[in-house]
Amino acid sequence: MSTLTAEAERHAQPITTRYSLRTVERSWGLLFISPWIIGFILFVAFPMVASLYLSFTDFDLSKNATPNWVGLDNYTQMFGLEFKTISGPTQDTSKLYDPGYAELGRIGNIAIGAHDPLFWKSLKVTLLYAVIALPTSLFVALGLALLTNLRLPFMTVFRTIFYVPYVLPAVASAVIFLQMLNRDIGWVNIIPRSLGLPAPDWLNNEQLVLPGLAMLALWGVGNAMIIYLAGLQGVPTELYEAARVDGANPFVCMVRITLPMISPVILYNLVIGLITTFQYFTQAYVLTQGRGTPNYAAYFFNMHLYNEAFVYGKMGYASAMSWFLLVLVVAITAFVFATSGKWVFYAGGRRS
Amino acid sequence: MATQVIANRLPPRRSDLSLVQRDAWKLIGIGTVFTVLTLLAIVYLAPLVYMITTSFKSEAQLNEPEKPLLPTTYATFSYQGQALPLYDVTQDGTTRRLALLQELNRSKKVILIDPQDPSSAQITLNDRLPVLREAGVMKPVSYFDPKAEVYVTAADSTHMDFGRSFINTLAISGIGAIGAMVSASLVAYGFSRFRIPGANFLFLLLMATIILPPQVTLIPTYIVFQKIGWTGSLLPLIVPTFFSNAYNVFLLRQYFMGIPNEMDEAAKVDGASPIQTFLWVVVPQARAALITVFLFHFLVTWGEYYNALIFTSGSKEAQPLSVALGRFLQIYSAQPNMLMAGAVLTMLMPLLIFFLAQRAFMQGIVITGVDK
Repeated sequence: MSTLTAEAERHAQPITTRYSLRTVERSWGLLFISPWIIGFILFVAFPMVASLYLSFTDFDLSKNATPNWVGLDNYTQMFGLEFKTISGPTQDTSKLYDPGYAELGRIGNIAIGAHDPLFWKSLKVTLLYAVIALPTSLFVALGLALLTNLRLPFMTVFRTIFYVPYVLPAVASAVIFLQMLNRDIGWVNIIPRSLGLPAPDWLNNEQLVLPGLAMLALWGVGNAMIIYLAGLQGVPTELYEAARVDGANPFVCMVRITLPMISPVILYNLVIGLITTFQYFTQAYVLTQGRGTPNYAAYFFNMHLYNEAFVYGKMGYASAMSWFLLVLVVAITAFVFATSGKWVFYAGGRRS
Repeated sequence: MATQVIANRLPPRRSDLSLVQRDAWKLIGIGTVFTVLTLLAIVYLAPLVYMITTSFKSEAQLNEPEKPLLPTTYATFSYQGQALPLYDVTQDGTTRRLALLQELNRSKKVILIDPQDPSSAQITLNDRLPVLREAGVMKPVSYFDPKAEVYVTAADSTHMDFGRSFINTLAISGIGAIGAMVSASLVAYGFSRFRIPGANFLFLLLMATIILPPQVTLIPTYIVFQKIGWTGSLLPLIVPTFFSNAYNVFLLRQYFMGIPNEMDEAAKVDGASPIQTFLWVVVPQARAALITVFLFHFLVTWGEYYNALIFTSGSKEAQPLSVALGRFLQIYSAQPNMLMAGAVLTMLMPLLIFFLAQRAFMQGIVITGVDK
């Protein structure tokens, strides 16, 4: 690659030394990338600035009013928490909190009130789902990739089978899992029934609704699998041959060769997985018909944002939520990249 | 081969298994791998099998107590104007096909006749029907009987409005995929072949948009689209694709950088303008990558829900299949056959595209290692 570029530069040198030709080349380059520059300004830069501005206003689309500057009101409402000590177990909670606040939860004899309890609940649901679904998805995808990477017949057939669910529309997959997770007719419950365990009602149980959604996510790991496969096929076979000569068993090969060599791909899948998890909406919205049932146990951050913006028309408040989401995602991604140096191995030395 | 030779010269390894034993272990290993893969394949295919079989069942077939996997109908024998259910009855090791004439629950009797010879003597079994069925003495005779009517009802439903929704989705995905392909190839060409001031910074900025949650740009975009009257139409879903996106540009830039520059230079020497060079030199060599971008964009857009839900906002004329299916679900949530037929209708196109282009697909992604 680098030799090609060097050669190209060598060829280009005598031509570009003439000022006008250099300007011509620049103009052509800018012309070619102009679709992105225009798109970036129209659909990224301008809307970002606008939503940051709106987050400091009370803009309400349903009232068609002009935005009024309200300072940090949206943010203080969003984060608004208060802590009250309860004197007795039977204390009347209706007068416990300040006006506009409602109960979020209790720790011991401390009652926590929030201005927007659903903000905190939806944030908790999203983080909890990330903790449940993300590691399992990455793990299952890696397992499927390792299995189908073996040099045995029919592996392309298996790869195709594991990949197909990924190409299906998310709504259709959700509709199928609405049935698969049904307590009475769903096939998922064949497993607990055959083991003599009670058949749970996945989608109507506060503890089980997120694992149920994680199953749907596991069904769609085909793309992550394919990316792992690409990584696995890039591992030089000489490494394994050398290890075999040294008497390494397959487990040692896996831990000392395979995992370090594909660690950049694991990082890639982890980051993409994080980004998609924080955009999670469709499956939960469809399966719970937008309500996040039962008792908001499947009420994701983006469902709350959607409802605030497009059901209640509170565009200012929803903009504040979106900026919080941006900061959160950037912070988590930055954290992952910062710690990746400890576990990601780049074969060609440190990545620039 | 070389390693083989070296290995033979080395002192014997810890495991002193004979060659036969080692082969046996290898076979057991392969057997285990195939068992695990087959079980996993069954698990991964089960939802699709459930969907397809359920979608071909009528209401009556769904409610069959036996819950057969395939859509089945129970065979009957008409006798004196009555449709008598047929059973395979096993008695003393022989099985006969008999028709159920009467069920006497109180006296625990089941009366059967032979359809070959209805007028001959009736056969009586001394137990109640459910008990006999449980014991396997009487097995209902059924035959495979898929019902396509469910699809007609689902497609005709006003909530699905299949024809219109299908055309909307085709327009969004098809035009969108062309837009994505054309714009990304232009931008990728610009980034891979020209010295643009601040190119590294611009490219980093482009890549950074991958992290950006769409929610942070959604609200102002929605407000503007509403002001210019685009909400409730397909335009908000199609127009932005003509301004390229980070994944596609990255994929194509990588690909273009792998194409030798010499042919570009040759075309330039022959007096071709950069646009001519792009069209006649670069595009033909990058056909595979361009098709990959097109197909990926097509598939991803076909199933896209969030933006479609927001921007078509309640306009039934503009709704794509994903939004239609969401609406359909709210109405038919108690009818599994309708739901599954609806799901099949929305995924016909992606499945068709995937299986037609499967090879280019999975190879294309493996080459680039970049996903959507």
